[in-house]
Amino acid sequence: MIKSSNLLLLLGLSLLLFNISCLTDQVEGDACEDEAYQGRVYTGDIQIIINNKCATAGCHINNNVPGNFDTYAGLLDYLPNGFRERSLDAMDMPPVGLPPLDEDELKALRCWLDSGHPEN
Amino acid sequence: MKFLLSTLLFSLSFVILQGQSASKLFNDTRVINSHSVEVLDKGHMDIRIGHRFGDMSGKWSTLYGLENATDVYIGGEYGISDKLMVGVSRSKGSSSLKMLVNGLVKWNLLHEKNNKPVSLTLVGLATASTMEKSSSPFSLSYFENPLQRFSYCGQAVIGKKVNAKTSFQGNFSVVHRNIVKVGDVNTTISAGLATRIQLNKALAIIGDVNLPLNGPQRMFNTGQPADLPQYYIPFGLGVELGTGGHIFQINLTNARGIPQTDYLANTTSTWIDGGFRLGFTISRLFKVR
Repeated sequence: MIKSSNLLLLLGLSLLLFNISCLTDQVEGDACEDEAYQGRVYTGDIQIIINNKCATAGCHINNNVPGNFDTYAGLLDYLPNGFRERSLDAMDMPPVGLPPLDEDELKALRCWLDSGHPEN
Repeated sequence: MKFLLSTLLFSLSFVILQGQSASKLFNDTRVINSHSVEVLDKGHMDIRIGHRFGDMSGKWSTLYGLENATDVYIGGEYGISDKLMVGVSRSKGSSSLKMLVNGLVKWNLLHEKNNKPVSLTLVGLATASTMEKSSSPFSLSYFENPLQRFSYCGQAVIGKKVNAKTSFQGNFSVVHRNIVKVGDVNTTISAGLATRIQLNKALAIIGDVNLPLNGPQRMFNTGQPADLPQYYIPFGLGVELGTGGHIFQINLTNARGIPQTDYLANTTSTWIDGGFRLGFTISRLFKVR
C-alpha cells in the first residue's frame, strides 16, 4: 500500500513537470490536416467522386476513352502524376461542358494523393 | 490556467483515504468516451482493445463504416493499490497528430463502497505523438520543439449510485495541447455527464456526453474562425456485457478518437449528418498478484 504522503509527493512532482512541459504554441496548419480530409481512402470515399465526375457514361469507363476509372486498378495506371496533372494542376479534367470538380472534391483528391492514394 | 489546475488538483489530494469494499458504481474504468470513477483493484491487470469504425454516412460503400477505422487503441493498465492505477497505451490518433502513446494515472480519492456519500477520482493523462516530422513549417506535425508532440488531460470525476441498478457521474476536464492551429486555444475546458443502468446480471446500458466550455469547441459557438472546422459535442450510447473476466462494450458515438487528449477538443463529426460510428471495447482482466 502506498502511503498518502508518497502519493502527495508524486502528485506534486507531476504538477511541477506539467508546469514546465506546457507550451502555448500555434501554427497556421495545412488543409489536409483538417479531420474532414484526413484518412481519405479510395473505397467508398474518393471512389464516389471519381464515379460521379470521371467514370461517367461516355468517359473513363468501358474503354470509351483511355483509362477505366471505375476500379482502383484501372485508376492506378494514372496515379499519382497523370491524374494530378490533369485534374488538379491543369484542371482540364473533367472537360469543359461536364460538371467540374468542386472545391471540396479538389481538396479531398489533393489530400488523398498527398497521403499516397490508399485504396482502403 | 496552469496555476488554477494545479491548485485544484493539489487541494483535492488532501482528502483522507480510508474504508472497506462494497459495490461499484461502474463495471469498467471507462464509460464510453469518459473515464468512470472506478479504478482497478490492487494486483489486477487490464488489457484493453478499443476500436472506432468509420462514419455511418459511408453507407453500403464502406459497410456503414465497418471497412474503415478512425481510431484503434491497445493498452495495458495495472492496479498498484485499490485506489491507484497506471496504464500505457498506443492509439492511432484521430486528429492531425497521429501514432499516440498515452500514459495514464488514475487515483480514487473517495468511494461509496467505503461509506462515503459520493465517489471521487482524479485522472491524469499525458499523450505524445510519435509520428514523423512534417517538412512543412505550416503543419502541426512540423514539431519545431519536441514538446509540441505532447498534450495532457487532467480530470476530476465525481459519481453517485442512485439505486442498485443506476449510477451517474459528472466530470470536469482540462485538456492542454502544446501545439494547435491559429485561432484555436491550447487549453480546452469541458464538463461531462455519464450514466450506467444495469438491465440484468450481465447487461447494462451506458451513455456519456462531454460539453466543451471555451474556445472554438464551445457549445453553440456561432463565431467560428474560417480556417477551423465546426466542432460538435462528443456523445456516446452503448451496451456493456460483463462475462466475468471480460467486459465487452458496443457503442455508437460521434467522437472519432479514444483518449481524452484526442477527442475532447477534436470532435468535428455530428450525429445529424451520419457522422457517428460503431465502436467496441474489449477489456480482459488478469489477477497477476
